[in-house]
Amino acid sequence: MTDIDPALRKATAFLARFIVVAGVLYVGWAFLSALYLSTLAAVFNNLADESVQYAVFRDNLAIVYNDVQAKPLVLALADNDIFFMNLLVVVGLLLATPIDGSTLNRVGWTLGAGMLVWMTHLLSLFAGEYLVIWDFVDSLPGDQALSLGTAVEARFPRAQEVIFRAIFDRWRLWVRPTLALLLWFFFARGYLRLDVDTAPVGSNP
Amino acid sequence: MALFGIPDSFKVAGFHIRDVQNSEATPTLDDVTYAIEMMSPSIHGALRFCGLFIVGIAAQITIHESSPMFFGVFHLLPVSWLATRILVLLGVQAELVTRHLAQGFCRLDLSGVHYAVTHECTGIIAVFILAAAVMAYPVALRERARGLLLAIPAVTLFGVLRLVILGIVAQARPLWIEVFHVYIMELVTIAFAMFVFIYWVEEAHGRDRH
Repeated sequence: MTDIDPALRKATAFLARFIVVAGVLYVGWAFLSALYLSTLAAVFNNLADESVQYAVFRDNLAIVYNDVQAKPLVLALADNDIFFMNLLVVVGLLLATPIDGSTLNRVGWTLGAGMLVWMTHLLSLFAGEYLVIWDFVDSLPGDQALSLGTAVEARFPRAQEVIFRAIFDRWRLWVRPTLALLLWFFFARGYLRLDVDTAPVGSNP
Repeated sequence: MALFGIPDSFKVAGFHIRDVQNSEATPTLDDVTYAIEMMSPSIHGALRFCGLFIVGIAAQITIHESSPMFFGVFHLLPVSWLATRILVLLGVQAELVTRHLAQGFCRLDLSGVHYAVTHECTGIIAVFILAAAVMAYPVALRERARGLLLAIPAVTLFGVLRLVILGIVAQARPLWIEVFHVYIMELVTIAFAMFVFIYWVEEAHGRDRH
């Protein structure tokens, strides 16, 4: 064991711990995803007006649009809970990192980071109501798209949808992993040797 | 300037406190900078690193969005091409169609099913994350150069492996492709990027000690 490069040993140990923790969290997620989606939907429904409501059907979210046509329009989202799984990435990183501090410190960080990520998921529901309805309108044949699109435009202006989509796409691709890592970098600053306020490494003569 | 004998600002326990009630001045950038400098080295070092990391990521995203063809030709195309060759070697009926490169994707045909391979599929975020983390870390320039020389080829090759795995999953278990793409491969990509980063940090500190 002593022959193994210490740098490789530390990196491999972290990788192994992270994969184990994330694997366990993934199994737990199978049981908790419906509950998680329910909390998001409940808070959104309390904050938003009644024209748009989220509901949980068979472990997936559905959006109920109450005022874009005579009857409520229900659009079910498939596999949308996968999008929220970056919560597991954040928690996995925090739990897989050995720290000198107390367990309470780790619990506090995990809860705080989890709450922050949960809030970003809640915000994504507000953008989602625009994106989903316009995706649906765009998928309809010409005449239907035109008639429903006119009704949708009044409540969900296309110009706003374009802005929300641009933000959402960047969020999904770039910001989600960056946020997870920023939280982790700060939490693991001792582990990553960021807590030494000395001359830059490698500047020794 | 002192007001009624109380200085505008004074230090308490290492923090720069401004007498806000009695001062009309709003905190300046110097105040904020000073306050950060007076924090414990632990927090100061981490804040500096995180700030530089954000700047690095934002700069790379800006460059990526302003010149998508560059990344298409020098990242998306070679990674997709190599992954397709490996899939063929593994016995998967795979073909790469590159005529959509200008639109930001290649088309991977797996046994007649078309998949759009985008930058996201090739794990380019890992390249950006590692490059930003290496550039933000407080090391000498030659260590940063060494880090980039280690990190960029490592995560690019990992991007090839990632695409090969996604291709195999798409062929064998098409229903699993979404969970593999969005969760498992994102998780593994971040894990691998941090594996390389921790290894490089430890190596850099090891060289510094010697």
